[in-house]
Parts: sequence; C-alpha cells; structure tokens
Amino acid sequence: MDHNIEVTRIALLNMITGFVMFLGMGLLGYAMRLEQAGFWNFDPSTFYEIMTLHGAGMVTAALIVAAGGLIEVLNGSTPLNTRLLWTAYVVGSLAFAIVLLAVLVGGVGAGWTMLYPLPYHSLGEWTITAAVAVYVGYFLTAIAFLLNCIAFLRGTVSAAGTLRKALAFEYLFSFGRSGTDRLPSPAQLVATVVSFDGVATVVVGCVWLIPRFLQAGGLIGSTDPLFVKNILVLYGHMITNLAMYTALGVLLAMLPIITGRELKTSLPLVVALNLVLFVLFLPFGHHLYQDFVEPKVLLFLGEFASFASTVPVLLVAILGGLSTIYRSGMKWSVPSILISLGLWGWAFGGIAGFMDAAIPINQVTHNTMWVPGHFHTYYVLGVLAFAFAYMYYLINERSGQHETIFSRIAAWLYGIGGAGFVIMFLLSGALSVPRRYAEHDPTWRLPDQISVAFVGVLALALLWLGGEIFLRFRRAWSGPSAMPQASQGR
Amino acid sequence: MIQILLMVSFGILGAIWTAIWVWVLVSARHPAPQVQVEAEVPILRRRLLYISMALVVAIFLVSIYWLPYAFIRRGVDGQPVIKIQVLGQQWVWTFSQTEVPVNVPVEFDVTSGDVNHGFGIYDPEGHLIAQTQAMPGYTNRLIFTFEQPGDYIVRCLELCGTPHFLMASHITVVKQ
Repeated sequence: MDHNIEVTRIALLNMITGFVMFLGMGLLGYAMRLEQAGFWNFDPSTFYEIMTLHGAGMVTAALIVAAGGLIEVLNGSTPLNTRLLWTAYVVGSLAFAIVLLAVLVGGVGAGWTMLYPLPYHSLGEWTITAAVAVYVGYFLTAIAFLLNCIAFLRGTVSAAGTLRKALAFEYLFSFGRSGTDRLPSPAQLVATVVSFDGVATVVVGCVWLIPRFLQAGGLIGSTDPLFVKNILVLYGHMITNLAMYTALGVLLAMLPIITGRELKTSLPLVVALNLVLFVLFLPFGHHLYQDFVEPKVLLFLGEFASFASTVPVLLVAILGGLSTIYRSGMKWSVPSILISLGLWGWAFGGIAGFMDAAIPINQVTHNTMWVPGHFHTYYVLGVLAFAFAYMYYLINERSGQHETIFSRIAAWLYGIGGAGFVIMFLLSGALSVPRRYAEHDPTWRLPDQISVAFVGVLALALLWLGGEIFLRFRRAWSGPSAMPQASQGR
Repeated sequence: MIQILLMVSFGILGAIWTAIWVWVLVSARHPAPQVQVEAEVPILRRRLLYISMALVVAIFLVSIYWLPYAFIRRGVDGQPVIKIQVLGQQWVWTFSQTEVPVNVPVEFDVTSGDVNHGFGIYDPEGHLIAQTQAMPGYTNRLIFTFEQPGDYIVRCLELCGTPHFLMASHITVVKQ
C-alpha cells in the first residue's frame, strides 16, 4: 500500500493544531499557577473560567495531537478514509470554538468535568444556555473522536481482513503458535483497541450528554446525580486514558526509529492490549471512593482494577520500552530525549495514581493537588512527550531540517521543567492543599511559587522547540510524498 | 500520619524508578545485540508479573481494615456515640452541632441542598484527615474518631461555584 500524502497532511494539521491548543491552554494554566502563588491577583470567576477552558482544551489537545501522530504512523500500512478524518478535524475544531465562546462569553466556570447539577445551578454566575453550549461542544468533540475511531477501525480491519485478525485473536488464543500471517503491527493493534473502546466510550458520552439537553429543554426533570456522576466519570476516565493509549501507538512506532531495533507484535503485547480492551472500563470507580452511597462492589472493583490495570502497562509498555532502549546504542536526539522522558513520566505518574487508587490513601488525597499532580505527569511527561517526539521527528524528516545541540538542551529542559512542575503539585497534595481553589492560603504558596519557576523552564523549552516546529512546518507540509520505510516505524 | 507515609513511600518508589530509568539510559552507550537482550526480557517479565500480582492482592486486602465506609468503621472503631447532620449548600455548611468530644466515634450524616460539595475535615495542623461527598438526594455517613482536641476546619473539596474556595466552617473537639 502506498503512503498517502493527503493522510500525512491531515496528520500534520491535527498535530500542529493540538500543539497550538496545548500552548494556549498552557498559558491559561500558567495564569492559574501565578494566581495561586500570589504573584497575580484576578477575579475568582475569571479563575474558574480559565480553569474550565484549560481542562477541556488540554484533554482535547492531547487527543488531537496523539491522534495526528497515530494517523501518520498508520499511513502506508492501513487504508484510512480521508473524508472521515477531514470531517473529524472540522467537527473537532468547531467543537472547541463553541466551548471557547461558551466560557469566554458565557462565563461558564464549572470546571471541565461540568459535574451535574452545578452547570444548571450557578446562582447567576452563568446562564443555562452557556452551560448547554459547553455540552454541545463536548458532544461535537465526541462525534469528532468517533469519526477518527471509525476511520482507524475500518482501516485496521481492512488491513487485517477481519476484526478478529485485527485483534490477533488466533495468535492470542493459540499462545502465539498460530495466526502469525497478517499479524497487525503494534501500532495497528493499538489503533484497533483504542477505536473499539472509543466507540463504546462515545456511547457512554451520549448517555451523559443527551439527558442534559433534554433537561435544559424542559423535556425531562432532574436526573439522579449519583447516576450522572457515574456516567460522567466513566466517560472522562475513558477519554483521558484513550488519549494515553493513542500515544502508546506513537511510542511503539518511535522506539524502533530511535533505537534502530525491531519491535515486533509479540504475545505479551497482544495479551496486554486485548486485556486493556475490557479492563480499561473497570477502574472508573476510583473517582467515586468518597461517594459512600455508591454500590460497594463498584468501589472495590474500581480499586482492584486500578491496581491490576497497572500490570499490563508495567510489563509491556514500560518494560518493553526500557528493554528496547537497553544497550541499544541509542543516540541522544530530541525525539529520543522526549520518548525517554515520556517513559519516565508515565511510570512516575503511575506510581502517584497507584497510591491514590488505594481507598484509605484516597481519603486524604482525593480532591487535593495530588490528583492534578498525577494526571499532569501522565499528560505533560507521557502523552504529550510521546506525541511531540513524533511530531518533531516527522516535521524534521519532511522538511529536511536538522536539530542542533540547543534543540537537545531544550528537550531536556522540557523534562526538567515538567518534572519540577508536577512534583510541586504532588507535594502540595501531600500537604493537603485542596485542588480547584482560586486563591491559596499564604501557608500553601511555597510549592506554587516554586512550580511557577519550573513552568518558566518548560516555557523556554517550548519556545525553542515550538519555534523550530513552526518555522519548518511549511516545508514539512509540502515535503516528499513518501517517507522512508524505517521512519514509519514498521 | 498518613501524609508522611505517602510522601516517604512515594519518594522512595520515585527514586528507585528514576534510578532504574537512568541506568537503562546509560546502558544505551554500551550496545549489545538485540537477541541477547530479548532473551532476558521474558524471564524478567514473568518475575515482575508474579511480584506485581501478589502486591496487588496484598495491598487490596490490607486496605480493607482502613476503609472509611460505615460497615467497616463500626466494626473497627465501634458504634458512633454522636450523630451530626451536615448540610452543604452554596456556599455554607450547616451542622446540627459543632462541638464533639475527643476519642469517641462520631457519625457525620452529610448531604447537600443543591449541588455536589466535598466535606473535608482538616486538623489543627492543616492536614486533611477525612472526607466524604455531599450530594443532593443522598446522605453519606462518615464515621470518624478525633484523637486530639482543638479547632478543626471543614473545607469544601468539590467545585460548587465561584465562592467554592471560601466555603468553610469549624468543628471544635473538646476533652470529655
């Protein structure tokens, strides 16, 4: 199958859009940290509007930039419907614009989770119309995500022959003894799993969102807040984790490129990803430990599944990544630095998450800064590190440009800045500082102030790397129609 | 207390992981054939699988003793001596009583009159010691035994509107 230049351009557009969104939302996050550190004083309603936009925008940015990477990784091995991909991009952009307007003009400050019934019970802070507009934006984001999932799924199933083959079922259930013909590549397998779960996730999202519209229209009365909370956290948990797994597809494509080693579809990988297919739905109860009225079976399932789901990640993704790098002769480059940082961050954030998933510990960490510490680590030094590594590599390859020692220094600064930034969140959480507070008590501010310095380091890194990306983008856009086989990670 | 345990154990685990990561990156300077490395990975993976599954089961079982849910706490701490009704509303806490004795199990029956709130109890040193959600239409029962007298702050821990960060109250714990 030939490499498709149109698919490459869709991928580049997704990646650069996600990167720009990340930068914009990052500035908003910086403003929040400055306010909490006591360096900048602005109105609390402005703080919560910024916080709402930051959360919604960052999750979307991560999804888009990772999806863009996976699109190009699959290019040439997997037939991808460009009409679906273009429609997804347009719908997703429209969705973000609607959320942006709803927050900036409508003043919605309910947080990106929009936890019912708060969006409809603001006591005059914003209107129901503005809240509904955010929900409309979220609905369109889900549609955009669904379109990408359908494109991936159709492509990987077409490449493998059947869905069973796309999931390597014969290979799985024969313990690797048969089914090796037309075995999906690691990235194809990831794309199938993410898309399959993605379709189910969108259905959950509809169960969350459609009653919100019906309620706003007066067609139904209030809905059970515990049920809505369950559906919301299931959807939110899935969508944020699927961004991580999308980035895993990019990681598996980058590892052979940076190490020069082959990465084949192995039995452990097939087992792990097929487990993820189902296990990913189970840990959502860890968001509900403090809802004591929640059916206990869901809470205990959430705890056990949260612990158990770290096993495939540890044994396949982390161990697989480390063993591929181990004694590989890998040379330092911006992509290899960012991939290495991403592996560190994924495991480091995972340790924080593992601890938070223990119910007795969660009693004193839930809704403290520990929680954003955990997921900021996963995202800044996980999802985004992997996705940026691939984006930087692709743009350089296509533009024929090369990195310099300053580029590599910037990549390390990304790690230093990111690590310091997230560690200060975790420290604040351990000191019981609540999350989502517009103003911090002066006794809480020292970690906030230190984190501001680390964000400065992160910003310097992004200024350099982002500058290189933007300056080279145009040449990358009109670059060669076919990429060298090795650079596709196959 | 639990926060110190959290920081120390996280610090140790984080340091161990970082050391492993650095060791792997440094090893990349001394290349070896992929075949040689690949032979060792399945053995390591199998060992890690057994260790991690054993840890998962052990931590899960051990955590049961410290669960905050009423059916565990009644068994561990005893039946509550006092029940306090707590209502969270935008943006105030209302208590049926705000003075509790030290060293006896106290049950907080927590609900909300409007949106989700988070009932978080902070000790006089500023450490979060217990919490539950306040949800409209539901009552969450939090059983807790205060071990030292003093002034405890109750903070809202679930975003409930713009004045969320100002929604706070006090409980006074007194010697019997």
